[in-house]
Amino acid sequence: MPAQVNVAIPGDAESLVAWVVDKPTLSRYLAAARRLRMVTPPDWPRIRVAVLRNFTVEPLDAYASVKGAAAGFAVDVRIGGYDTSMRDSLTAGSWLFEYQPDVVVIALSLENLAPTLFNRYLTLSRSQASEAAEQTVSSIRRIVAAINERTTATIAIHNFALPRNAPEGLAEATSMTSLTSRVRALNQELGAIASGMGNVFIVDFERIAERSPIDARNWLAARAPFTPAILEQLSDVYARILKARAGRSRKVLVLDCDGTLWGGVIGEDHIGGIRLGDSYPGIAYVGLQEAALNLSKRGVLLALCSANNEADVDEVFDHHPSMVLRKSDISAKRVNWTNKATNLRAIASDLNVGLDSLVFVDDDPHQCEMVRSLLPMVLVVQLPAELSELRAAIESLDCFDAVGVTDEDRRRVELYRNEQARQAAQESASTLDEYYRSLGMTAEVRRIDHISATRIAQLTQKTNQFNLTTRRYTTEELTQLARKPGVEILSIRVSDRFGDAGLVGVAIVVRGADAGEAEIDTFLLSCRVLGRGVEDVLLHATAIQAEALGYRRLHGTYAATARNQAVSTFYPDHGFSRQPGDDSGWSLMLGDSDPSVPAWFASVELPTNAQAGAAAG
Amino acid sequence: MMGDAEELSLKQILAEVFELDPSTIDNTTSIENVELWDSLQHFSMIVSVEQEFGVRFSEDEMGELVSYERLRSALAAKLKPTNGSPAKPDGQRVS
Repeated sequence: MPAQVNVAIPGDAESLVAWVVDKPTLSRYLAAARRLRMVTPPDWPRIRVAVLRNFTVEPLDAYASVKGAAAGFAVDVRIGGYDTSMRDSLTAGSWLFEYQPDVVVIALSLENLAPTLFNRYLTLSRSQASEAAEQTVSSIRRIVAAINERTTATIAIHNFALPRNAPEGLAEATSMTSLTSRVRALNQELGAIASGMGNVFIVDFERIAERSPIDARNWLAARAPFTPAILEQLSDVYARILKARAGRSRKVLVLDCDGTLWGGVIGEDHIGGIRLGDSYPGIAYVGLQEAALNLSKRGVLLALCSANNEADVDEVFDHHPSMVLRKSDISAKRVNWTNKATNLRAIASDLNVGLDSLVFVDDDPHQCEMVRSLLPMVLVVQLPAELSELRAAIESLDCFDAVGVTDEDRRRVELYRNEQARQAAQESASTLDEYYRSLGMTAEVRRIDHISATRIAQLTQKTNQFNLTTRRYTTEELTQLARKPGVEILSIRVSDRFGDAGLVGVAIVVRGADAGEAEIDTFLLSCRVLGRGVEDVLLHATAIQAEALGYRRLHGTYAATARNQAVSTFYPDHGFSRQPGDDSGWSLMLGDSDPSVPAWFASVELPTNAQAGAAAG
Repeated sequence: MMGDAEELSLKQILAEVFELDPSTIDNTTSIENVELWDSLQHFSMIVSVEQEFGVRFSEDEMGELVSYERLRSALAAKLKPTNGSPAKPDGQRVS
């Protein structure tokens, strides 16, 4: 039967990678790797990988090709003979050097390399065992030296798996001379070979094999130990090495604050109420900060990007006893009410790096999705919901590998610290509009009822930031207030394609100074939905409803607190103006210039009587 | 038991491993007449089938499953729940 082309397999490199990511099975890797050879774009950097081995590493070549393609490399893998790695590397005209490899992988099984040591360990005297171990290391050292002599290739040495069982039984872990100890010592020596040279990496097969045991059946029958799980992990390491040697590593870790550096919302919970400390749940955030601090010691720059009052965040950095990160660890920050895409551009420009150097960490799926969609070159890490996974979310980032502390990096930090003025890049409004539109947001404004009263009271009690007057109400007070003539208590619910945000905003209108004036007693919004135009919808509904009640004018005031400076210009920003003789607030004539609803809302529902009243009036 | 869906999945795996058109795979397809079916790809095929269906073939079976027909019946036997007792965890495909 002649080989035929399977129509179900995608035809271009990017779709092939996506096809495998969608279902990462061995058979898909094989099929995709074959097809990639034909369809990889010619302008992708070509990487020749030579594998020296003494056992069946296949189908590792297929995995390496596909993982390489996922990183934008055209990876060509050539695998040497079973027992020729020594000869291949020591002979000037061998296939290895003819091939001119960019990367040489040395994947040797200790069991095959030193079978007596591995399989009959207890028959050896200590000196025999030491001699066998020393021979093993010295042959690998010779191979590395020979490759370094003739090429400039990056070298990746697999270290050895520990014995699957314990030849000395219970004593295996106690004995300093057990096979397990011996293999660990060998792996340390391999590390020592690598650490002396900038171009040599260790592939930690010891750790991989501990996590994912080899296939004993296939090892015995075909000297083919790699399971799909092992192949995934090995090829991930190869891809990291390819990216690191190409200088593709990222340089900056940009951290959100609320829900990322600590639990809770500093603007609402205050310094004593955020979760950060030495027991659960605060200890999870300490762990995340420690992981970030470790990264900074590897030369990764840290930056903050947070929607907050800067003074609130400063207070935590300066005064919270459990803060791990200090202001001096932060190289750039944008703590303000501008959207995060704009802020990330500004951070990149402060630090003089490209957006493709940034990793952005946030717990909020909306922020993550917005950055992904507006700045696709930024790597976005959305924190997992489980606190036990926070630290690992930072520690498992594999994009900082080649970063070392350079003088240039240090200078960048200085530059930032001395910088007085910032030039924030302006995000084009049309692009943001498109993003908001893609969210499919819906809003529903309702009059208070006995179900919503409790939640509305709760919002008046705990909302600090987006709260114009910060008046606190109990459920009973609200119920009484709602019965008074001329009073309207509105609440707004919003949802989008990520889900229902629930009841997130409140507006209360009462009789004002004269008969035609409606006073906005309360106008607040939960910080969960800031910056998406929800306030515009609520103000629109407030105006419509006031008109329906017969009012001709809206009057609003701003009562400054330590927390609500973000909304100090809310009314003038929304078409309200100062009236002669009134410096308490701002007024808006109803009817002709009512606040409008942002065009990106897919649907807006107003209280039925408001719509009817407005129509009648 | 092998349903149509299982049979299609099995053919798809062989197609991917051996570079075949799945519609040309039938009981006559074997190591004798498939160009890429060598001992190396045989292991890849076995592991792929095990990965897809959550089954494990014994050492004896490994060497015998050299045609679609044999592979199909060995797999069907593993996917078939034992009469009267719950299926072995590794013998039942999780749908």
